Amino acid sequence: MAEQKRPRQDTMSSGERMGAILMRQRPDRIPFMPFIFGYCARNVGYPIGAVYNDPEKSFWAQMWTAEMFGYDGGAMYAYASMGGWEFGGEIKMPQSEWEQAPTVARFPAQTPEAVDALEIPDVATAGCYPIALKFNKIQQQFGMPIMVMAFGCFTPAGNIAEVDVLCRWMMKRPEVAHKLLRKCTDFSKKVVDYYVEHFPNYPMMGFTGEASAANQIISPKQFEEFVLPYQKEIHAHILQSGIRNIFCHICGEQNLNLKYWAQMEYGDPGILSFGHEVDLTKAIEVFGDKHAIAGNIEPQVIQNGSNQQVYELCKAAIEKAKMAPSGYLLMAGCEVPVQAPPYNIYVMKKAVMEHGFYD
Amino acid sequence: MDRVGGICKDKMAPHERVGALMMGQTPDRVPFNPFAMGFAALNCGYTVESFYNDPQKSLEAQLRTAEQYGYEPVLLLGYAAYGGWEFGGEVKMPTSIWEGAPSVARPPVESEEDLEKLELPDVKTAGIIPISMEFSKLCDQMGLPILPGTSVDAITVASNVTDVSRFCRWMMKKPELAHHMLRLATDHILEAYQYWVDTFGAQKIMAGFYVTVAANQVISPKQFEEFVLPYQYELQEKILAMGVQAAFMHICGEQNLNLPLIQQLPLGSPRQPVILSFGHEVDLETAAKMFPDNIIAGNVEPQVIQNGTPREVYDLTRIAIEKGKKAPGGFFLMPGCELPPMAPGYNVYTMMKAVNDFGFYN
Repeated sequence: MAEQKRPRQDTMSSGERMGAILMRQRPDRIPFMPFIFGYCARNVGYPIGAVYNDPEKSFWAQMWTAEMFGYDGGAMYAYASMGGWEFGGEIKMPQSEWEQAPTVARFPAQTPEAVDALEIPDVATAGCYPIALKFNKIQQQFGMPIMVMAFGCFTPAGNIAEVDVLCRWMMKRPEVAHKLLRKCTDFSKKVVDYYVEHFPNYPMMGFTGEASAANQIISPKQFEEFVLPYQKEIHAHILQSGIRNIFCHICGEQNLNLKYWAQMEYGDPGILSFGHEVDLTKAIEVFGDKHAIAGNIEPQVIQNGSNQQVYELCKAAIEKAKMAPSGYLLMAGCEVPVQAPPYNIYVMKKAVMEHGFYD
Repeated sequence: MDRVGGICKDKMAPHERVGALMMGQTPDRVPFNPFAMGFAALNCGYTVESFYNDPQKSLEAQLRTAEQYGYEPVLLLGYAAYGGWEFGGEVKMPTSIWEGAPSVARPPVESEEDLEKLELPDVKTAGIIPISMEFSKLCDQMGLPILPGTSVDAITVASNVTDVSRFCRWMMKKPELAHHMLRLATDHILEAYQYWVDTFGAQKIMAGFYVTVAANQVISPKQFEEFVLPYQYELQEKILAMGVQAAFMHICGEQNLNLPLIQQLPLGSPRQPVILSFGHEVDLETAAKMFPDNIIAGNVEPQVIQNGTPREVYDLTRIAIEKGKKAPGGFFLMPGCELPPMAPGYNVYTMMKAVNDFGFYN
């Protein structure tokens, strides 16, 4: 690429840079956290499923890939299909080149009666949590902060009942939807309590997100009734438990939901990440005074776009959001696609090094 | 190109490093080229096929991937299956994830009669030559060295024209046919090189010598002596006499029993250096001992780069560097053959990491 500026040298380590964001100080440059999971496995020669079912390989795949590309932020264990397995259904780990993350293979509660019968699982044995906990123990061994995967409410409910069943219940049997959301919320709080008990006084950050609450699936009115109260309760519980910051991924088209997201707590500061559907200027306007903003390079472009397109998108995002009052982190708008060309990730870092410094 | 981030603590730019090596001087560290072709295309989001049929994308992919990993680019648009398409057969470009490079889909010679009728192709239009020539022009515009896409490898060209198994039968049962084919292959290669020299001038050209099908996995050293040595000798002697600036010779695969014969080939001089690259089958200490006046390159096993753990790749690379650094003529770290297109990126990164950890000269 015929590129513009001469690259700069970092003057902070990744830990110092992220620490500066959380202390509301200005780092040397914007941090770059690509939001990357299955890609890391592929990058180091592991099957994609290893990121989700092998804590040791997952940890090292993420750490090695971070080292190779020189991006910030450590490793974390998370995936969007949580709920189904944890509440007694079955999960399918990604195996083919067309699968990039786990999917629910059997939904545990697709009738109102099944929802009634659902019991809140034991965190230590529920679905992926034993794997996540082993992963977190490795992080602890290396003195790295732990991201507490706080389960959530609406997306897990959709993974328990199946999204279209949940959508029908919202319209025709709202009491069933609420019952399921209650159970998810209670489990989320239990997860947070478990982490606080088992990792006492250890640096942790809450990780929440909402994918199924996007306006591609539900209306803002439905968000207000079926997401806001539960998500708000989960966030409040995380912060009351002594965890100071929440990283919240507001996935997909959420423009009409932003006024509700603004009613929640995220800590001081939180980090809010957005998909490419939400303009970064708008995100800064709504949340930027209190919280750091992250996002929002379109994953489809990272996978299919030219090297130059990815660079230009990153440059534009950096120029738009760099001066956000509580800080900005360059991220993909959602998980980096597993099959993304490596050079496209390199040019994201290149854009950060050429346009992301503060002086 | 300015790299960003990474582990680089270089004191020389890539062209300075390679320049020092070629002039018989000691560079800041061991130069590294991963022989990345299809890998480079995939790395930049292109298809493997585009590496071979789109000169612009091929060049971009090679330069960008070199920039990303911080290695020394050696730019080439060529392929080991050279000959079949160029002499009038058909080539199959790689289209699936299981294909790493072009292969001969239909060899132009499938019988003795076909061989009798075979004529030398027009080098300006034959097979990949127009594409490779366009690639060379792009390199020339950027002031980069030119490595012609025609393989200086008579036995491999002959085998790609006739099919390897048929050529092997002829070597044993009808050697006159094998020699006839080798003569045609040699003449074609010389014509093609003359075309490149006429277009760019010899001083801009780095020749590419190979002896791929001559590996002992395919032929015996006795066959090498009869069917490879005279033709390869003629080719290398005449091409070096054209005045090319340097040459790269890839001695592919198991060639241990051929090494005394390869010693007899014209292998350049201090003013016209020839880099000798070896597969993992040839120990680098043996290579350095037998070819003390040449730059030695190699020889990390490609299969390990694709399937091994990062630690295995790192350790193999470290061993190669430790052995290669002692070569009196200088050392260029490379895989033992083309980098597999599907090799994990981190394994290539660990090779670079080993260069940074063990490759510096002081």
